[in-house]
Amino acid sequence: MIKKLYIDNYRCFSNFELTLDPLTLLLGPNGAGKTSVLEVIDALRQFISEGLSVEALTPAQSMTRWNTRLEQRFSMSVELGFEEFVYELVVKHTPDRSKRKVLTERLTCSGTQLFHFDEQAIGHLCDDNGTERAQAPFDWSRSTLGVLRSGPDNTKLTQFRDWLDRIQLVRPNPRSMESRSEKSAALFDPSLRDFAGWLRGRFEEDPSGPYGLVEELKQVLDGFVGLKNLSLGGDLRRLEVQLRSSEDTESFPGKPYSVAFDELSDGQKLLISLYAILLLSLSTEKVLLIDEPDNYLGLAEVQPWFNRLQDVLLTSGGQTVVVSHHPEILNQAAAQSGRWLSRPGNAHVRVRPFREIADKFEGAAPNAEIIARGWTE
Amino acid sequence: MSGPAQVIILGEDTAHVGSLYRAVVDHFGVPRRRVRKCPIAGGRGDAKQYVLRQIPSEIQLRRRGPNSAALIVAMDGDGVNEDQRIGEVAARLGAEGMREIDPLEPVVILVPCRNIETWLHFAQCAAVDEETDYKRGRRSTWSSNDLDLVGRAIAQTPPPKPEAPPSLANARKRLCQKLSLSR
Repeated sequence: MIKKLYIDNYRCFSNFELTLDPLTLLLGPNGAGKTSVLEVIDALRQFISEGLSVEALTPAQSMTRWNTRLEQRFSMSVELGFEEFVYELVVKHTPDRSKRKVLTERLTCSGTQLFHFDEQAIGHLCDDNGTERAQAPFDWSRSTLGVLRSGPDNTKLTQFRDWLDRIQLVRPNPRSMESRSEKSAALFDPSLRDFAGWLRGRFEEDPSGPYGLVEELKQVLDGFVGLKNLSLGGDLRRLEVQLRSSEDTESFPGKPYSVAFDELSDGQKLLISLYAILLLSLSTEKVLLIDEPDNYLGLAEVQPWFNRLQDVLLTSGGQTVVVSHHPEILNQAAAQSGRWLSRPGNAHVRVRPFREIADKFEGAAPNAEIIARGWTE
Repeated sequence: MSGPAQVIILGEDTAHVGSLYRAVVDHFGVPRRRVRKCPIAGGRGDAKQYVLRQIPSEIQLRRRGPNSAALIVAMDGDGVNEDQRIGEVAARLGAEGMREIDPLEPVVILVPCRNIETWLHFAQCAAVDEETDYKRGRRSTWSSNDLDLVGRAIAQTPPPKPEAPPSLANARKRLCQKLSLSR
């Protein structure tokens, strides 16, 4: 679980520190940096796990506009089991800001250094006890941590990298979701465009998983019967949703019928995908970063899904960071889990627990009403 | 004279809330983004009782919120005069254990007498009194033009006519005094 995130001199973040819980709601007006927080976490994952270059991670325009410093800093404290990992990255730009390099990169575990890339571009690899085992020059344009070989004496470093692969960003766009899949996918695209391929993978991986999902969806989607992957020849499959009319008349005989997933309404597609992600993806040490999951959902669907999310978090040991403006979510959980992000004077992002704001009103109005009135400062 | 940074409007129906919205936005110059309409009673029983029930929580909320937020409440007289309606509000606050509205507190109670249709009738250049029920025989929905007319009448643009109903003249006076609203 990510316990703390630190960002300095990046976009609108200057010396910004955010503490996170198993469930954290990022709240605030438009342009307050909520989505950027999710993007930073996901970008750090890509930097280490997918070989994203430092150019792509921190282009010149990512530097805080009103800041003249040339160094950007990121730090993430992560609790895995009983250990606390701290990952630190410093990127340095040239004075004309045309080039940049990794200045330092470091990983510690409960205070013991596991890896350090220093200012001379030398990588120092340590064993699990912190004893340096090797050093060599590395490329300063990418993460060195990401390219180190796993071995029996650096299991903690491997544990951290494996955990990074469990971070997933979700920015659902139901209009982009497709029914067809050419292969099963281990991860989904943030927009959930390839949701069908991801779900296909879950069907293959764990036949019991989709059953639980189907039973859940029967309760939340009127007339829902089941899901199936229809073969279209070769590897091509089409995700179909079986529905049934609740009326059993001559004109509506009540027999199940199938529709392609992308024939459903935006709200129905999103509802199915959100429950699927919750039930089939959120597990121990999983981190879901969900950006405005409620945009297309009917009012009656938001709280049941959010309640389910809270239930799953309690039992799964996973973590979720949710960006939301939805009154149903704000009223239910902002006081307990909310972090209020704002940019007074259009300057850098500030954050404080939403509880501080809610306490002032002592329940005189729902959280959403306090926010809607702008009484948050 | 500067106006309030924010205005909250509570009224019996869309005629009250819509007219006051037009008045504060179009004539008193409060930015649209800083005006918030409270939900109206709709089908939730007697509209006047609904407003009376909401007033304590709205005042309590306003007292905890920023000082620059003003609350405007509109309730028809409907056979009761302005002082009596305002007295009902005071009694309701007392029953809730709340202190009464301070003279310097930006909370305004407006009481169209006999009802807001009286103001509309006047705004349509007709002679009115505060005893006749002009709601009778009139369609219940208000047009955008109706809201504009009453909004302008509340702000009294052009300046008040001597024949204006006293409750309308008082409304303008209270708004100006208590909200420091100025055109």
